[in-house]
Amino acid sequence: MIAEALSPATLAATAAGSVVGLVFGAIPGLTFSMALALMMPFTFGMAPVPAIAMLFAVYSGGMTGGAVSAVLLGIPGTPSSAATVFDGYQLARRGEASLALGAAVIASAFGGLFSLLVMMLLVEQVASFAIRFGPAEIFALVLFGLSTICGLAERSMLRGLIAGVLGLMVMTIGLDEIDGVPRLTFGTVQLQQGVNMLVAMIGLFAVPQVITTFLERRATLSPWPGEVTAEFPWRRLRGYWWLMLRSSTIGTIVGAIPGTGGPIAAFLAYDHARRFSARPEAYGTGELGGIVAPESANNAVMGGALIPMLSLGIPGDPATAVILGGLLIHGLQPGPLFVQSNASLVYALYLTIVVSWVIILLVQIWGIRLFVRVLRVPPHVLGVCILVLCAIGSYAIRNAVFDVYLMAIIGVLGYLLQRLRIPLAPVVLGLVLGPTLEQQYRTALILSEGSHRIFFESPFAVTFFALTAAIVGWQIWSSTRRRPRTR
Amino acid sequence: MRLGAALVLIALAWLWLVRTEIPDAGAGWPGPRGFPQLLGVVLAVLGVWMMAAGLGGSAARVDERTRPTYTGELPVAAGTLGVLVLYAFLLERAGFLIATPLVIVLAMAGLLRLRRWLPIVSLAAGFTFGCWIIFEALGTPLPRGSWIGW
Amino acid sequence: MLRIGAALIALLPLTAHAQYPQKAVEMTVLFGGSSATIAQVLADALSKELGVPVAAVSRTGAGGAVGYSFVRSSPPNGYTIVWNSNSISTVFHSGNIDFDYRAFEPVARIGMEVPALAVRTDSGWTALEDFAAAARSRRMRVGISGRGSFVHLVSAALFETMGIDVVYVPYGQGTAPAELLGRRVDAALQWPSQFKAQVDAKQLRVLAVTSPARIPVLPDVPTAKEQGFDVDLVMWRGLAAPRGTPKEVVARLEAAARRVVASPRFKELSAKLGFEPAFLPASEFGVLVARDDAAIASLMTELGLKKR
Repeated sequence: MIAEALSPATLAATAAGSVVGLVFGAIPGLTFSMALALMMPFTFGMAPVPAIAMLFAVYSGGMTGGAVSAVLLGIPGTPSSAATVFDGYQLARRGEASLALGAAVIASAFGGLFSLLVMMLLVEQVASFAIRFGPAEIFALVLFGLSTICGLAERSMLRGLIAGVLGLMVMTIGLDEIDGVPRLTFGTVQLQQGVNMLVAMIGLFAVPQVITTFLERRATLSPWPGEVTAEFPWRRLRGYWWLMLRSSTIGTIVGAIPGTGGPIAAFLAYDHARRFSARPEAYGTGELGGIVAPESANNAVMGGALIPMLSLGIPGDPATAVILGGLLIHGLQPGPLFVQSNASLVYALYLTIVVSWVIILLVQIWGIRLFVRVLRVPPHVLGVCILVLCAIGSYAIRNAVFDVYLMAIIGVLGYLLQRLRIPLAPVVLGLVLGPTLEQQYRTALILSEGSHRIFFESPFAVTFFALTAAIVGWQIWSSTRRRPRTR
Repeated sequence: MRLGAALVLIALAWLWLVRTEIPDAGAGWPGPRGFPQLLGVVLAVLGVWMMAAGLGGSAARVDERTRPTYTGELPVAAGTLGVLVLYAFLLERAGFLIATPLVIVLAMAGLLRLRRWLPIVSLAAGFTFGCWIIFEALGTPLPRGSWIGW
Repeated sequence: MLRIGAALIALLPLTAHAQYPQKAVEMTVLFGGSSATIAQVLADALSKELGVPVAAVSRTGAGGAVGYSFVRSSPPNGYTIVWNSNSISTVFHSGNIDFDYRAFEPVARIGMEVPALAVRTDSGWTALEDFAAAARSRRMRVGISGRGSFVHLVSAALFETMGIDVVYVPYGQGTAPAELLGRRVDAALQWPSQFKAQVDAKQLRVLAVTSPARIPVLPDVPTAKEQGFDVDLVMWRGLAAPRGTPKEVVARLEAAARRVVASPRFKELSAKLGFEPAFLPASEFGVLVARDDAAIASLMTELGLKKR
């Protein structure tokens, strides 16, 4: 079975899966969840090891690919790479796109392999830890994540909070999942599905930036450095390994908790990196840590999410649900007995994950020279292409033209906010955290039959509340001290 | 100051919409309305805070990081929205292969006032075809349009 | 490459009298998870039967409202079909769409999924009666999918028959089994495939299924009816086309579906996914859909969930 992991068929399937995943991840609007669903039928006729290896490779390739468009175009390829845009795109604008992409892929591989190691050594421990996270604990964790708005608010805390609230508001539109009633849909079916997170992100990140590019073109300003270096400075990553390790831990744990996922992990890691950095003010202007942290975290989510899937048979997110389907099709029923009773198969699968990372690293590092050529295209021409890409990407997410209209409107509103000096990053954070925050809060209250005591009876929840209070308190204290100078 | 007032108005409109557009599921607080209501109230409070800060005079100070102002900002922003909306409209009816080159040419010539037709047309054709091939090969079909129906 | 070829062929003009199917058929899938996987297996097998690609295209969201609306407004030519289920009734009666099952032509029932009620093994309950007895001294918390979902209706019907009152805890993304393991709920009513692994590992026990007869996935589990609680609620899954699709097109799809469901390969894959193939031809399927709709309507009225 182990030998099967290195058989030509498996290697070919892994390579194909990695590349397809990368392409899907790199195109805004095409996500690895879609890639997984589309590759699924091909696995029906394959032997179990190559079939599952291909699905794993699509997952890791897709998660990594998201960073490519985040860095080069400033649009997250998948929701999990939204936090990568803040610093990745700034680095690209400074002509250091290859550095940003290189850091992203290495951090990704590190995160992916770290979580694989955790999965191999501590499956049962992590699974039994993760299962203790119920609605009350997840609510507390997400609320803690929301306190990172303070860090993303750029200059004014007030404007950051406004932005965060606007983001949270957008995500309440649609059919309420708990009570099944339509909210703010004005009787339309299209709005019932709610505002897709990625559609909103594409609009918010891409449209304001394209409008600015067009304006600069008309004012004949050239915002881009003339040349793009294609060198790959490994040395610059020195000093980031410890951050990678911490971010990977965050990603693995968040991934293992059913009902959370990559975007939340990426933002938590981003904020963690900024908070413990020697130069927090550099974040958002092209700091390498701002790429390393979210990319290692969102790839570590994969191993994390596979833990409850393999050891309990419970998928934590839509992507692992598809992989679970792939395992079931081949007569493999993950669950408490799975790892022991299929040890050689499981180890073969672990080995294929390592192989897929080797392939992804090779393809990406080789591909960087190719990718950065995109930046030689004059910005205004690239802007027109980005508009088209955003539109068809938004369409592809749910096969709905309605989403293209939605993306356009959200994008122009985003431009308006930017002009009013309301930062967009907290809006995105609101989009990411809003649905989970509300749902877990309400589910917890249903569990406790309306009593808020449920939030204070759990040591995990209380810990996160205390951390949240500490961060908010510290932020208010430091902003009152700064007040005389800036507002 | 004006922004603060606008936010308060938006928050009030939101709260009104929450009352009229979200049915009360009868499940008590929070229910489907609770969270949106809370957000509306928070936005209103933030708006008042901003107005108060404006009255204090500190917001009158110009942010030194204010971006350069461009001429023709409104037409470009409105034009971009227009191009996207037109594109969405055409995607649904004429399909990707017809809508895309039209919109690219329109954006290049209309929004950016470029007049070198050969590069514009070849970009429009090339980019359209490239995207179409990639999306078809990946098995994510692009809209074919209801007017023609293939 | 194949797809590009198919797309190019699809560009060729069609003659009016050409025999169906001439181009790719699009099958709208309304939900993710196990239902989407079985849809892909079906689409794959159907494309071999029909000789044209059958693409399972996901249009999820709003309890199926989005996908149903799309298919309903598509031209009734057999090139847009929907992988449907009882959700057409739940989504209509909850007031989220303004058309019901009559907006579609039934093509065929493909199979069934049977809800199952599970508890932790260490609870000591081995039959519904044990659970009912315990529920009389303490209000039980039962994990379901969202309010107004089919499993919610089924559990409401079951507990009403048992004469007990429980707290329904809605979980999205199929996390109810995890919550059961995490001891935050006392029972969960979900699909058997979600419990299979834990049942094998003796961590969870399925007390009952709500079908009229026992199911192959869990042959040792008695039905609710066997235990004296008369509940017969099963989710059907099938294919439907927009109203007005020509009879011969429906017949062609029906015949293809019949052969797929009868094939050993489909049976094998279904068993692995915990899906129970059960073909019904268009006419009988239509009767079933109408009968189920009436049952769901009265159930939702009782629960106060009926909005239309």
